[in-house]
Amino acid sequence: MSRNDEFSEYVAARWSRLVRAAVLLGCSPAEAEDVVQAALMRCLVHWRKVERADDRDAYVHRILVNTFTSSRRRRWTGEQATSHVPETPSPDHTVAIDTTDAVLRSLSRLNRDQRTVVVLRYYGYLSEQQMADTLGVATGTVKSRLSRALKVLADDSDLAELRGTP
Amino acid sequence: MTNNEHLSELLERTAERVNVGPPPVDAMIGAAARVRRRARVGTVIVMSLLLIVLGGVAFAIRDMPSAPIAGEDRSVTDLTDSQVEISAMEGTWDVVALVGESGKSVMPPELHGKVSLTFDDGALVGDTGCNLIRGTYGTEPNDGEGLRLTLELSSITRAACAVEAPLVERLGTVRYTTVSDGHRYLHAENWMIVAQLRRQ
Repeated sequence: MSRNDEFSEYVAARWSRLVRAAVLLGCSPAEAEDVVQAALMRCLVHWRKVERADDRDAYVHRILVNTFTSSRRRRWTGEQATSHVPETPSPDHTVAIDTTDAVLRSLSRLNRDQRTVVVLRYYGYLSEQQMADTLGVATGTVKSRLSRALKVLADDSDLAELRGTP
Repeated sequence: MTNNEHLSELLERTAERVNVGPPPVDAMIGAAARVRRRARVGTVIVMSLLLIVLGGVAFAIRDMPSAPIAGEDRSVTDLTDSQVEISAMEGTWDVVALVGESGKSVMPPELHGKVSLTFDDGALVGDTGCNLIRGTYGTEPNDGEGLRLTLELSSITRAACAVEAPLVERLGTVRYTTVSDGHRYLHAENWMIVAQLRRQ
């Protein structure tokens, strides 16, 4: 199987999940596709490294996080994460708290490092060690970021309502 | 359900609400190919520049005069041009031509092929095949071309042939010496050639 065939197969299997992970990291859906496309292209340029990686998904997540961070650094005057979700053309007035909006609002209350570890841990299902490798930090740093992030989320009123607790 | 499991479920539900289009695989493959091609061209350019720089450095080092190392014996290549000329002067030379002030040869026909001069560590011996001329010589660097040469004739044997007067007279006017085309030339004060010598 050629490199391009392998790549195509991998993308077909992971594309949706990676784009959604980028949305949870803070991208808009359109921007998320751009970021993931740039990340996957970088992976294809260095596909040998992807093949040699012990954990291919962890490696790709690492490229994704780096690409996302670079795009945020480059577009410092661009879109910024906000706790106020703008009105949509067809808001769902029948649901008191829309789950999606509530979760995204809660995530936006985290700083970028905390948000990244939450997404990698609870959506990417990476272990602490994998996250440490992905982010290039010590495992202890990952644990402390995760701990602080969970504390912020535990105090979040929107998430408390979703959990059914006051 | 634990809080962590609940958080995972919330993230999954949130993510599922995101509509994702089909992956632009062909566009990514094309873009990656372009990046790789540009990287290869960049590598070739960098390597070429590196070779040019290394070549320049090699030429510069080759043309750089080598400094003598303390305590090391000096080889011939370490000697200056003047020192080479001094050491090259030692030995016996045939007098090929002897030129008078008029610019014409003053070598007596009977002396052709017989006259020689030997320079040996400051001692000068002239041999005309009949008489011997003895003296001393000294050299010192000249600011311009060649070496400043001082000849002092001290004695001459007096055999009956007595044909070396022009040689003695011309040697008395020598002030400089140069080397050209394998010949050594002795010059007067005005740089006029006095004698042409050829090493035996």
